Amino acid sequence: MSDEDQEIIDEFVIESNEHLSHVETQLLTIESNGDNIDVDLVNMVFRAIHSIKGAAGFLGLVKINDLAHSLENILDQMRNCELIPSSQIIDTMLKSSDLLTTMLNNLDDTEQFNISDLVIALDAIAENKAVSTNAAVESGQADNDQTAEPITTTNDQTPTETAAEVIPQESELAETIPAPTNPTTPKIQEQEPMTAGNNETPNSESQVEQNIRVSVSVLDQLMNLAGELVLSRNQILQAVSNSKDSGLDSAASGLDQVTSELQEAIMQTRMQSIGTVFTRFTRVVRDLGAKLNKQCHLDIEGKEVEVDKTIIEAISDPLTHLIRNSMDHGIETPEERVAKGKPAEGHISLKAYHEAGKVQIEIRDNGAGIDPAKLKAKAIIKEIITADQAEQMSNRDIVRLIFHPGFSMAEKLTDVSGRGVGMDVVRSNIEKIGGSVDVDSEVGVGTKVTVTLPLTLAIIPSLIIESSKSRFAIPQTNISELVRIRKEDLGKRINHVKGAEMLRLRGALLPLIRLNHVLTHEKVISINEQSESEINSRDEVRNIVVVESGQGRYGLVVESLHDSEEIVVKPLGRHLLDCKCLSGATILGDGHVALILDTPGIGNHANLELLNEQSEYDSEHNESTVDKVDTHSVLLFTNHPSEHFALSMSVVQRVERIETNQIEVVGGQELLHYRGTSMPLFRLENIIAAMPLDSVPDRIYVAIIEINGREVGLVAPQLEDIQDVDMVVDTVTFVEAGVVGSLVIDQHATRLLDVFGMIEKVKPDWFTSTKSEAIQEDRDNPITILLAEDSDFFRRQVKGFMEEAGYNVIDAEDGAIAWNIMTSGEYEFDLVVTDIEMPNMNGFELSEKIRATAAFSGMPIIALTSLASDEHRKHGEAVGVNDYQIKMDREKLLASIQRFTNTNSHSNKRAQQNNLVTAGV
Amino acid sequence: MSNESTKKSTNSLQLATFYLNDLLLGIRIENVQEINRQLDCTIVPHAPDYVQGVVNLRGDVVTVLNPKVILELDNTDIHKGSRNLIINSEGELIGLCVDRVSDILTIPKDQINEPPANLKGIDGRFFKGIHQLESEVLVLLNIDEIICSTTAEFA
Repeated sequence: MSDEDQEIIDEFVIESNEHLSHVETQLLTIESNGDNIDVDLVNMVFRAIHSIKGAAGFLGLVKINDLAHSLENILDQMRNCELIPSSQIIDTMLKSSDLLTTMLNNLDDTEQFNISDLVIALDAIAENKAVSTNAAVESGQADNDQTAEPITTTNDQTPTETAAEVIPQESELAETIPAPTNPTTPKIQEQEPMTAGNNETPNSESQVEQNIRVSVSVLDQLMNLAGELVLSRNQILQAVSNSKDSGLDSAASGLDQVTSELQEAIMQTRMQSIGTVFTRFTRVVRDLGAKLNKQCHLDIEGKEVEVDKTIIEAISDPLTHLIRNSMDHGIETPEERVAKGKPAEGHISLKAYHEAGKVQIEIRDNGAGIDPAKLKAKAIIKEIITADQAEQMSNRDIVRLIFHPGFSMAEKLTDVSGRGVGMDVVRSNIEKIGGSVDVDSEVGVGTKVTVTLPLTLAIIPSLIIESSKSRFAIPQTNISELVRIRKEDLGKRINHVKGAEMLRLRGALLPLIRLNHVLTHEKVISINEQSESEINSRDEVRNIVVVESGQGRYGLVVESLHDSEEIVVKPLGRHLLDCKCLSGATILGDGHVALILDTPGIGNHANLELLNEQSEYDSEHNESTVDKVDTHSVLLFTNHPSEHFALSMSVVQRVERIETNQIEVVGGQELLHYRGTSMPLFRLENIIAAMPLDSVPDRIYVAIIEINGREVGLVAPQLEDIQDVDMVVDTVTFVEAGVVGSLVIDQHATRLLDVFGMIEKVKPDWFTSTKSEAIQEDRDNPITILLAEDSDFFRRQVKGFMEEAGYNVIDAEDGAIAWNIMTSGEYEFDLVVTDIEMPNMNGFELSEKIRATAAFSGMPIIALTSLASDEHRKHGEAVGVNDYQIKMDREKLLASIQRFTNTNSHSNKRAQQNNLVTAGV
Repeated sequence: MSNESTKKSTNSLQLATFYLNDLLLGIRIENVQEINRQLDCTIVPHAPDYVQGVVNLRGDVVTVLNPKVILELDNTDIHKGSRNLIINSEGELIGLCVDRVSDILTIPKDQINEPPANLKGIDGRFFKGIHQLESEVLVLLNIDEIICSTTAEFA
């Protein structure tokens, strides 16, 4: 028998014994209630016996299973009030429960026990249920005789004395029972516990030194006292360090050491190896495999990792759900797997390990993975995210949406998962115990879910902070970092967005919550009032604790930071349960109580205050995505292995892997034979200052780009990655025609290519049409374009190529500035080109304003975006955007500009505009 | 609560008496776990106004209530004579901040009269009875009502 099995069995024995110890008293109560059946109580016994039956069946303990089954039948009838419990019936049931106990404690040899008589007796009771009470008494007596006899024989066969002790009493009882009178009932009650006591004595001897079951409340009390001892020790150490008595000194250091060890040992009593949860999954996977017709193997690693009992209990359900999910949605059927070229048998690995004072649990499967495109579409339909947001999100973030409330990943509800217990419940259950959960998935390769848990809930490392002259504890698990802002950086780091404070942190904008406001402002206060006081006290912002909560990260502004301490968590009394910003209390080294802050609660509280002005809250959110406007999806590749290049994904139609023998050279131009046509192929080294490929591989990648309706290929020999990168572009160092600048990606200087510039360099004639016409159109009165774009880089780029095409371009850093320029009347614009995500006023808002103003109602608007999506387009159309173009696709944008400026003959329009102005509109 | 029903054998009650402003109140001594001077409370943000704060009672975090707020009496600051009356209520220790602790009195049950529906403007439901002393009236406080009604109201 493997250790694993032994562990399960040990657990089964402990658990079943616990059940049975209650069953005895419960049965006696049922008996004393007589025909006044307490259904709840019977149900309780039923469940206890049922779970023993289930576990025994699983472990192949046939006899226990059978006996429990017969017992269960009777209980079932009782709870349906089909059977009135009489003393005889209860007798037989008690005997059965005794025998169950005996067998449980001699699991190695359950065969020696004879259960058939009891089973017969029990079944007879079950069958005679319809008989009237009197008849039942008689038959009950008969049963009793039956049972009494054979068990005596059992006794002869087995060395167990327990049965022997039970029997004489049983027989006595059987005699008194036919006329059940009141006095007999208490007699039974007195005797039965005795027999039970006798019953257990011989068995407990055999395993007394192994385990002692101690109630958790005793352990909690010990923990409490140990915590107190630590406190007293600290005070003594402090007092001793001030005195000069050397004898006291050594005594104190002894006390110190013992106390620490004691505390540790008591902590240890609460620790259990995570294997107790893990081992059951082997069976879960096996059973699910059979049910779903899937083959899967579960690998378990790190069973020995120990965590607090409370945590073990709390993670069991979430882990089960995750494993079920892996089986149900992750692992494919063997046929599908084989078709995909994977081994027919799937693989799930479950791994626990310690990392940085926390426990990590990894559930990794090699199944189908999560398709971000599907998820994205679903999230938009369910209105969890807007199309705008979806566009800005990385695939990883999209996959993380499965933890969003109201998101069921299953396309159809199945029996296995999708029972309404979504991944959001998994997440909230894990967060409840101070843990976190993350997911990473690759389509076709598999999914990895990582659960991070604290080691213990009883003692948690926390940061002590001060605010409003009180000290508070923040659990370290909630803290992602501490930020201290120098006075001179305040203006730079703290931004105000319509009264909400935001912290600029490595390119992200985090909402700030001032703890003293949260703590003192009980009621909802108006946003203006709040913002004003915030602005006034702006200079105070110094220490910011960046915390992670379910809703995301935010910065908590505190007055000062104290030490980090290991705190013992104490619950708050019942009068304080409604303080959602607090999760408990602790006692600090000096004996004072400090409250523990609940960071998700504070997040909710702060949002509540903003609820009155939903738009404020929205703009805050928009604001936090603003920085993502600066990120851009690029294709990273190398030509010569030491030279890195990036190409905007927005211009790449697709990437193909080709064999080099598909390339043909015609008249000095390389052509790629491809899908029946040939497409011109360009190599970097022929166009810009780049080293050629150092070898000639059999296969290379080609990025396919469309230029004025024709497809061309750019050789990108070695693909590295597709990444969302911050557009922090150095537009000086490497700039040449075809290279817009450089940026550092993964520590490599990477040149960002302008594919149109490159092609134009070698094939200028491909571009003449768009250019010359624009210039010719209006030499003396150039077309004026208003460009609203918040990213410096893109603004320069777009403005650059529009000016190059002969347009007069006025640029604005956001929608609000653009609007001001428009309404100032300083310029007369023919066309507006606007980015969508911008701070203060976004492109949609700007378009709405323009359309709502009669003077500009005919103004063509082209919206720019990193990646155009249909949802975007619809929203844009609704607010009056005329066209959508991709930022880096300069040819299409120029063509579009040309189209709008031609169709709307601008001289006409300008006249019209003037008329309107003179008319005083 | 269970104490009250089982202690029928004795004919008198032992009361711990104390003042809230100048009102003399008593609660059964069985309900009182201890009396201390620990009133250096940690203020709990967002707590209901009748919660004075929490204190450390040998390792337990105990909620301290301000009965004056509950009884809608004039609220005064904590002073030198203030004491923390620790009550054991349904297994939880709860502190009551009182102005001055007076004697422990043994009062025959038959000398306790039904409380009036309203006493000095305080709702009668908070009282169990009154007893006339030589110079003043002792009011028997319904401690369960004080502690539980607040939670019920709050929940």
